[in-house]
Amino acid sequence: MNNQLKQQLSEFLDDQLDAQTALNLLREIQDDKQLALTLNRYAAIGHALKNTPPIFDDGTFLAAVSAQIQQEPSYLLPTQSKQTHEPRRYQVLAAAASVALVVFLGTQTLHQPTTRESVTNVALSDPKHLTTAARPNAKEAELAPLNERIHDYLQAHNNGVYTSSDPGLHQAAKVTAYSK
Amino acid sequence: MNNQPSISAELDEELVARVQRGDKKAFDLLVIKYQHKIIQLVNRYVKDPCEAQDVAQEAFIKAYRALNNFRGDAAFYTWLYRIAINTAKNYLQARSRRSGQFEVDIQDAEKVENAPQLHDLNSPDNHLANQQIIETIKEAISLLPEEMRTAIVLREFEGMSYEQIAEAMDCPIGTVRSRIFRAREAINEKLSPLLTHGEFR
Repeated sequence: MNNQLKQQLSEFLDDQLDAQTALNLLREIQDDKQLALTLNRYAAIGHALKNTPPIFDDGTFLAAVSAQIQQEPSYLLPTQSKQTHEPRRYQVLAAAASVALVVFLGTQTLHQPTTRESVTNVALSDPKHLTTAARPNAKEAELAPLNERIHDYLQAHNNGVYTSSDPGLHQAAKVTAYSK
Repeated sequence: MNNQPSISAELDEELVARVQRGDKKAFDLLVIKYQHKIIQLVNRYVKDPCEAQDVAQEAFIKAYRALNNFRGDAAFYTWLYRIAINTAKNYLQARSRRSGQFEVDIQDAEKVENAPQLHDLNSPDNHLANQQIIETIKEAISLLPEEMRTAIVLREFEGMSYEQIAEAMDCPIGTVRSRIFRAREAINEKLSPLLTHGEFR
């Protein structure tokens, strides 16, 4: 066992090693009984220095726990820890980006002229668009007789809302409706 | 290094994740990492080193069995610490059924939590052995060169970080690492003759 490994043991006890070095050292300890004994002694020295009774383990503790763990079933849980934290962070970012996009589009829409205005403006400024711009009005004209017929039908069959906007006619219309 | 606790937690997180994916050997690494702290913690309650080791073993097994419920909301050590304390208390409760001493044991353990110097071991032999070890360690410390003695005392008694010790001793942090290691090694050499005979456990 070299001094470099022993020094790492000392630093490991004081939480001075980075995660990867500590992991490698733990693997070395797992395979090297002498290294494990040295770690146990360093730890016991620390406890004795603090006036707590030192407990020296000769390696039987780990062997006993490990043997019992081997009798236990293995876990096969899906990975969580970091991999669950990362997507959560991305989900929050995605939600924030979506909200920002909606706000941006909403603001843009509010500041734009209405479709009809813009179409008219385009049509006035460019005669080529005249046919296209006139199409909605032509369609409305086509639908006008149908709307008129629907309106008439409603006037004849409904007793209130659709009869007339003139309050004086309401009562007569209702009577007509009852008589039918 | 101020970020050391998070590095330690990062390692724990990695090891726990490996165990949860079926790597039982990763749990051995967690045992190696925490066995000293857990045995000492349990010993504050049961006050017998041999029993403390048995109870600590049980605590590790319970932790393994409960690991599917560990979601990382608390640090792994905090979670393990709670399991160890509960296991120790259950052990004392079972022992109290034989002797009716449970309340006294718990009260004693809680006093000792706040005053480690009140430790007392059951067996007079154990007490003597530990006294001899402590005397040997104190003697070894007194024989250390001044700078090594100061470094190990600041670390172990005062619980100072390497950065704080470097600042207090006005030296590079690498020197602090080296001094603390050499101090431990010098004490270890003095202890070896006592420990190799297997008298102390």
